[in-house]
Amino acid sequence: MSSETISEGDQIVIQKAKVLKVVQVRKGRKIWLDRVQFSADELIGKPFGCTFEENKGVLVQVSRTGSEDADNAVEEGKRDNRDLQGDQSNQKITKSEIQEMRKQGVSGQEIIEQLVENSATFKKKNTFSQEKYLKKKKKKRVYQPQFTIMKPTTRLVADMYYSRGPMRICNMRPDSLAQILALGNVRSGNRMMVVESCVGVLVSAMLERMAGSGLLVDMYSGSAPVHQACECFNFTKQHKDILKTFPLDRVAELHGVEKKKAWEEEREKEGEEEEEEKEEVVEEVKEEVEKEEGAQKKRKRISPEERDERRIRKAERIKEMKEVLMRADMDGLIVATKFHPTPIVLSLLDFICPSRPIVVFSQYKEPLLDLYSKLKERGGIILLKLTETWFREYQVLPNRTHPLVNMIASGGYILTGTTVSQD
Amino acid sequence: MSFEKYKPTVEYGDTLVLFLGYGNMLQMTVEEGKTHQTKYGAIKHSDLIGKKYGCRIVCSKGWLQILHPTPELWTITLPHRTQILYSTDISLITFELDLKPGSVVIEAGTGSASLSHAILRTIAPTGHLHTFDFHEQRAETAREEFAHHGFGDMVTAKHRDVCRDGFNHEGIADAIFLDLPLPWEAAPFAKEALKSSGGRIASFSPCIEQVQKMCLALEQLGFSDIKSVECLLRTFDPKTIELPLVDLVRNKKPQWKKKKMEKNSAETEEDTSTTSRSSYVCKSGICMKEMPGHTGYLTFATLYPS
Ligand SMILES: C[S@@+](CC[C@H](N)C(=O)[O-])C[C@H]1O[C@@H](n2cnc3c(N)ncnc32)[C@H](O)[C@@H]1O
Repeated sequence: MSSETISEGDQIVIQKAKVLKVVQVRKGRKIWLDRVQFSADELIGKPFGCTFEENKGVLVQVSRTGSEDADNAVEEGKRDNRDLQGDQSNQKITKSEIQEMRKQGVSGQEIIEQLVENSATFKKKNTFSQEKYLKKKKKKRVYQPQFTIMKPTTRLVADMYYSRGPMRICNMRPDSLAQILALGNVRSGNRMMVVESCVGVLVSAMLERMAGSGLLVDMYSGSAPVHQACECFNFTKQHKDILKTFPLDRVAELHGVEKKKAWEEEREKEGEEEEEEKEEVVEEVKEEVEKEEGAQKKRKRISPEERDERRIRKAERIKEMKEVLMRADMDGLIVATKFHPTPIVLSLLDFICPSRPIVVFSQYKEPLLDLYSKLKERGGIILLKLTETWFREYQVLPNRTHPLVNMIASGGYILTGTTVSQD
Repeated sequence: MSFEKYKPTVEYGDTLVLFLGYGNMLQMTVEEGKTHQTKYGAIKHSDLIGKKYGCRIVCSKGWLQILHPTPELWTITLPHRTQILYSTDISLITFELDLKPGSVVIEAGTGSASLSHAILRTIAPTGHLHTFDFHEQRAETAREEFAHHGFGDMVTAKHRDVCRDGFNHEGIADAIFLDLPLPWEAAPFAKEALKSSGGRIASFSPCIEQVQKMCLALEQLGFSDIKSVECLLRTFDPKTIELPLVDLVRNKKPQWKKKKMEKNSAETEEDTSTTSRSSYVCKSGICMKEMPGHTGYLTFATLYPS
């Protein structure tokens, strides 16, 4: 994991302009990046942080050119409308428009097409000089897509998931995740509970910060926990070993509520069978998401014996976790789910030590208002605070510094509190 | 001695936080033979020994709670020697610098070590923080604090002018953080101090002119993905609000009489939670009248291997 060069089996983040993608390096694998395709083999042995350009299907390692924003900015800052007729008059697209396109991930080819389209003189040129013009444009690095290979980190993975579809991670803007991790005092050695519906982005962020020491119990709903985002990281076995799971629908049993009646148990068994299948489906979906060819996992058939064995193992796991939780010495609770948080928090609070943080995230304010008042009623929790972060990015250029014209209006709400003993 | 791990009970030498009410917290170190005065009366330190964190302590004029310190509580209660960074910015810095257990971090200036505590929490137990301040007393006090809080082995606090003399480190850091009036003067040294495999840098500046200079310096030094942001905390005060409903029909009975009648009748109890006949009730998060509208700008960048 600490290796500085890319090896087979590594999960890597590919950054092209502002677009991020995570893929696993496998021999012979074809990696698609927009319309560009190359073989993963070419990356093996290269250092993390290196930058490439694709040229006719072959990767060329290039030295990263700092953005040209600064130079251009100085230039443009000096210019006013008076001079606009100069050498630019034949080209209607300005440098800053090109940079904007680049930032949005428009391909070099497309940019050049646009340049041609908007060139007053291009059509007047003869074929030879047309070709010369195109060559000249292509050579300019500005239009050539560069991409950089990086190690996966919470920052990059959260950014990737958020930009692809914030709904899948409860609209948790990355700066909100940053708050959650700090306010929850997430660190190596802690024993934490987590409830999330963020496809594993929160769980993996916690795993990264705990680095294989302590305990992380994912209290999941439904038939199986979803930890898709964890696959984006190069977690070692030790990193992952601290992650345990416990089904939320067994929480009542921790409170001494009698086990369900026989017929309910029957139904439960059926549910478990479904679950095994779901687990496989999750695997498949992941493959699909990666959109890699030739890597489709074959659906494994499970034999009845194996199924029984799994069921026994699961029962053991649950029993073990029950014992752990009933000791009521957990170091904190973090919740970020699509469910109403109030019942979840109220039923898990008993298993946390006094003087520990709880952090509840929601994309809506109202459920947290409800939780706030229920916690006040319950007692045993102080320093309750409902907050939201306001996050704004800036364009910083000489003489042209201002906030970006668009910002994300809401990053979600966070309710925090500290447990105390009630006697 | 209690920052880097949770411990169950109070011992001599512990730093803990006394909670006397919302917005009323203070930190103290438990020492033999000492007494602490609070608005609820005196606390004998010796009475705290063996007490569980999170428990209630009864004083002569009221009670309070003893809390386990965390970097976040420390930031609220620490003794100020300088301006400090608060948890909203600190969270973002930790996140954007990719900090995790094992990270090697360089920080200047140390100031009141508000940020340092949060960094140490995240990089513990295997990471290391090198923190610098050109104010000798601040470096010294921070060093004592770190040792006291159980971070002694994980941090080196030095007295040094980093803009003039650099960090005296080459190729060791995963991340660098600058909270200095002239961060661009330290930026070339920062580049040197980062690992040859690359790393992240962050800088905090209250003024936009500082940000502009810093961004230009980073650009010229070959840093990439330069991003400047601002992150503010909005706090909501949860309240049940009640809005009276206006009468759109002319009543024979005056409003006050009607209200009195309703109160006496049992039927109104049914739906007081949402609407009663004379008012609309709901839960709302009220924004405070005033909030910190600016702390500083944060600039982040990556250094890729050359
Ligand atoms: C605002 S404080 C830092 C506060 C700190 N981030 C915290 O959260 O507590 C800035 C510190 O930088 C120190 N400083 C300023 N210029 C410096 C320099 N050239 N070298 C080292 N330290 C410097 C000052 O002495 C001051 O303590």
